[in-house]
Amino acid sequence: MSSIHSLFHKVAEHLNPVLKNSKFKETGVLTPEEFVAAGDYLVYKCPTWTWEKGNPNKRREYLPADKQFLVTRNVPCLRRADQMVFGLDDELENVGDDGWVSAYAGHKGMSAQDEDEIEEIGDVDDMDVQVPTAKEIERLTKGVEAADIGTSEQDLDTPLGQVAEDDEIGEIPSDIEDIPDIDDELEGFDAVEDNDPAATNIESAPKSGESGTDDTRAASEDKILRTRTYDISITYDKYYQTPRVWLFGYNEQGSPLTTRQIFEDISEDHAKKTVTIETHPHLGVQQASIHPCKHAHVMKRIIERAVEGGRREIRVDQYLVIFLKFMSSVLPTIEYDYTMSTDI
Amino acid sequence: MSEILRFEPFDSTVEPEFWSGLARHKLHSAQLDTGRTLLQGEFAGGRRHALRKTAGSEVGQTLAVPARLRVSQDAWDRAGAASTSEAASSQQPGISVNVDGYLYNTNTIEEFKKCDKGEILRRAGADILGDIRSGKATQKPELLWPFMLLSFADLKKYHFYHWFAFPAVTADPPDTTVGTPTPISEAVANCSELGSLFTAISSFSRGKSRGYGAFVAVYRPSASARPWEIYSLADWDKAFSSSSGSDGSIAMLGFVDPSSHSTRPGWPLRNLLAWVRYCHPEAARLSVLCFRDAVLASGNVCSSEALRQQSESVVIEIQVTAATDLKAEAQVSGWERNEKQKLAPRVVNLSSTMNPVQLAESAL
Repeated sequence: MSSIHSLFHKVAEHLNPVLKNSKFKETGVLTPEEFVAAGDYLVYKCPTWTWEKGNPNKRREYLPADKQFLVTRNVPCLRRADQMVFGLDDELENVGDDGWVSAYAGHKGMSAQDEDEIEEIGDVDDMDVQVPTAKEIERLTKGVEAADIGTSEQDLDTPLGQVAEDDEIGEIPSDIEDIPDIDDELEGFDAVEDNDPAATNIESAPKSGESGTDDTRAASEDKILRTRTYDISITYDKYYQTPRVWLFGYNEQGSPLTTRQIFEDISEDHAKKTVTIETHPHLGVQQASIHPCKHAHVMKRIIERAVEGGRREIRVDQYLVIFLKFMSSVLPTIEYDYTMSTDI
Repeated sequence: MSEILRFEPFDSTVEPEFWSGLARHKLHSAQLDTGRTLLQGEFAGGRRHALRKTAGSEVGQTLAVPARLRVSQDAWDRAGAASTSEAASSQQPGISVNVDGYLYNTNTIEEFKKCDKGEILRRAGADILGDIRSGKATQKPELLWPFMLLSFADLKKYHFYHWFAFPAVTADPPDTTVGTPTPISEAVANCSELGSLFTAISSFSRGKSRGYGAFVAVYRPSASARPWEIYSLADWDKAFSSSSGSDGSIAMLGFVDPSSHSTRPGWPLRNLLAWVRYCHPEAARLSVLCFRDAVLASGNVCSSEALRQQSESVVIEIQVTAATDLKAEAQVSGWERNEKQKLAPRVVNLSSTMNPVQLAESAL
């Protein structure tokens, strides 16, 4: 394990031979060692991602103690997924209802080189490549959904980390009503704050219904925009042998988002289908997670397409970088740092 | 043009795991004790967020996001550790700054409401001024940025009432800015490569989990090999005296700035300026480097052009209000505003993740 690490750091640009012969190219899966190597590469390339040790009681033995999972925090999410316009319309028509691919192909956030390649990947109909369609995924994950979460309609409006229990609903508002009383007890003290000329009060963000250009115009005037933010983590899923993405969202005021609100930030093809609410393996709190049952399959396709396209081979330590680009089709509006130009 | 220097306040962010830590702390160690408990929080340099290029929007737009002070499960590492020893270091020393906080956990909602908020701030302010006078803050600038957390944990319902304060010693009259704040890429452009400054800061901070949040950056064109040097606050005199010459040298007070606003520095500068007022009253006018590029500096951006484009640090010329006398009664402000921008506490309901009955039900 440690030898893999030191090797990685020595030749960050080149992969050591052990990993090259691994299974990821044939099946799209990762060993824990490869996950760590790919995570190291991601952290090296995008320092907004960091390794976390997580809760010591939930430590996984097959991962180093200080590299249990990856996290990036405070990621803004300006618009809701249904407001996203993907690229050109004809591009969308071409790919039809092939959910995984259309969003990926229409994504404009990558370098020209990337886009070339992605067009190749997106060109599914020519090739006899089975990329899962949204329907397929729906069918495949239906059982999972029922068994694992059963996100019922009434659960959707419950903030994560909160629950709608009948007898409590009556009580919570009354407690909240109690709180403004504190204001009254702060006479005089309150005035100190209000007279503080050097403090800045933050303007509220524009309503989510406004268009993107309005948002960005506001940004250019340089107000602090309060947006939804997400803490995104990537864990290693031992069963599927792939990375797995977890989301914990905060609203504009920093309170946890409800499941329904989180679904607004997930592309329609995936919300309620491949996204489940489960307990985070290292943190012990409930978070939204993109179910990894198809990850290996899609990653394998992407890797194969890159190879067939005559590019040089994708190294296993680039796995997570590519994986995140793939995830950006599921999370089209969450602006996590995937901006680095990969040389794939 | 001189304007009142305005600061971007902290925005508290509490990860849910922190509250489970609080519940454990309350049940197993603190119990009915309402004395204050040492915590740890952290903040990082504020980066504007680059927006994805989408149809209809221009290239390279960025978004200013609130300055976060984060409290997580790690906060309790500090509470558990002996107060003198260094607690578990941050995952990324040099990128985020660890600060101490004090928890005031009350036993009842009534206590929570009646708690003397003014007294908490006054005490915090007195501690800060004490640390400035004693020179402790010179050694550990993080002492200038404590946070206070007043809380009441309703462990029957798993509701957590809380209110953060980020005590700031106010200047009277307020400090003012001279001219408009300049992006670092313009302020430093004609002297040297930005990269050399960032490398210097990055190596200064490397391996330090503390003592890194504030520094003095000195540029000496004569020392051509390494024109930028970083000094700790303790070496202030050395740093400024060595740059006094007219050979184009520059000395700037730097701090890790959680704000991402293009003109407003973050909250930590307020107490840092109080430190300047007391310890270096001769510094009436000061260049302040609001350093926001720790991630960039530690990354592997190789071209200086890319650095220049991506850098977000800002240099502000500040007219520091002369110290009248730093009294212990100095006005201190800093209670955080809640969701409605009111000076009032917040409440978090974690029954679904912490209530064993509900967890058992949802596990079926």
